[in-house]
Amino acid sequence: MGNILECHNLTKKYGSKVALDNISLSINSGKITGLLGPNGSGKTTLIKIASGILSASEGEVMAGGNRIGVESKKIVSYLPERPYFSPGMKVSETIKFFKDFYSDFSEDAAAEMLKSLEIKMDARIRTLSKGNREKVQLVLVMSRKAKLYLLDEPMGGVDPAARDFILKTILMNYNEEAGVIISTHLISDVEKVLDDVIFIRNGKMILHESVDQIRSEKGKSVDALFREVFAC
Amino acid sequence: MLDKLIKYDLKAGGRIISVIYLFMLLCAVFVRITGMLSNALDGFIGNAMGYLWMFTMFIMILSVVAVCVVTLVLILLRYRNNLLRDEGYLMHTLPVSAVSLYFSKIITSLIFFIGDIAVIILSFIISGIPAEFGFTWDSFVKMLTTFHYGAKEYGVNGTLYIIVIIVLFIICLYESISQFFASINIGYSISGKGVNRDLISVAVYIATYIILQVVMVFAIFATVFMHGFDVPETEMLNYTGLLLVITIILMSVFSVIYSTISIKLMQKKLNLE
Repeated sequence: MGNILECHNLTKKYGSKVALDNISLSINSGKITGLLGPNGSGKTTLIKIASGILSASEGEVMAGGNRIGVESKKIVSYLPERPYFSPGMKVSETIKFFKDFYSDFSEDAAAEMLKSLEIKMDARIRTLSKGNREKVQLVLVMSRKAKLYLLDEPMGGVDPAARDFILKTILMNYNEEAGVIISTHLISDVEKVLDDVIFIRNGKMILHESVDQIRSEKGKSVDALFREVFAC
Repeated sequence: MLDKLIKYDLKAGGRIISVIYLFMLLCAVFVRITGMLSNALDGFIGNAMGYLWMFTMFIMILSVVAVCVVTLVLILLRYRNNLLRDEGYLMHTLPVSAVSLYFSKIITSLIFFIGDIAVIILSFIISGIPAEFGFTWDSFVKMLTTFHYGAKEYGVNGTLYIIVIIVLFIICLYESISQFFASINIGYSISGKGVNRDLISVAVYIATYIILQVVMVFAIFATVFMHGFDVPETEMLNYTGLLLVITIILMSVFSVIYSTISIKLMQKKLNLE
């Protein structure tokens, strides 16, 4: 298993504010990594840089051995925390769109998942509930055979039943050769599927360990450790 | 990938613009029919048809204005929403370069504006309005021929002159669109609480417009001063041709500057909400 994502001395500044401060890390293929931290800690910024939405102020980021750019975007499947489809598009058109632009997209897998969710192909995005819009995005993102999945708050603002669906979708669709990064602060929900965790605070990485190590060495769950580390 | 981007941009805008095109063409047909009926009929019905002809002609002329305004608004909204707002999270993570994303919008905009002009011309031909005022195809050809031979007498290639005017028109169109896009890009690169990015974009557009006008006036005056005010009539076409070429060069330079600003901002300073 190689490194699918590497950051070397990554720093991101917004004016005088430092959002990410000299972060160096490697993410292995075949693992699901939780990017955990309180609001404003830099999780979304890190994911945005890896997906190509933002550029780094200093340092280097490589995805699948490529600098972030057109080539890296071919192998990265990114789920933002915002709805990103034009409200006027039909569900079928979003599938066609993904098929046109991503060679690793499986139309059949997407259609099957949407069918199981009873989301109609001819429904326009604007007519779907907020939860269903998020599900459509997740289904499309996970229907790619990508090498790196970047999921930014995939369970933010959805009910517990939907959270289960989201976790199930992630587990069922990611392939063993891919890496998954899930940014969230709903740790108890996601803990059971994580292999590794990264704790991030004020733009600095303060922990990068496997979940098994945390449990065996510290004798705590990730949720308990998180509450301890980030106690107000 | 550029072709796929253009396809989706054309599809998104085409849904709305095609409706207006259809409306305008229908208006033209009504103008033609009412015009023919008012010429053919006498008395009250003939008069009524005459009034109806004027009314439909008025609506058609309004739709000409509407189609240009709607096209511009649609292009600007599409650019802003698709590249600089929430949809930008999808567009900027596609395996395509910022250059492709930008030129997809530029090419689509040019296609829409040239489409507008084609449909407007077609509508006027269908409506029969030009013929009503004595402007027919024959008179158009005669006008072009007169210009061609007139220009030849003064030692100017008339065909080349017309080609230069067409090139100028396309470059001016590109310059205008790229100026709008650059203004939006600059406006949307600003962050902060309570910042209205749309208002900033408008302010940037006004500022760049003023700069452009100042440069253009300066360039034209410089040319006029260099050649003097007393230009012989025989030199007039060459002289205006020179002004056209200078305008093409200046517009091209501004277009490149605006396009570079937009692309660089999307590559390095993308500031999605």
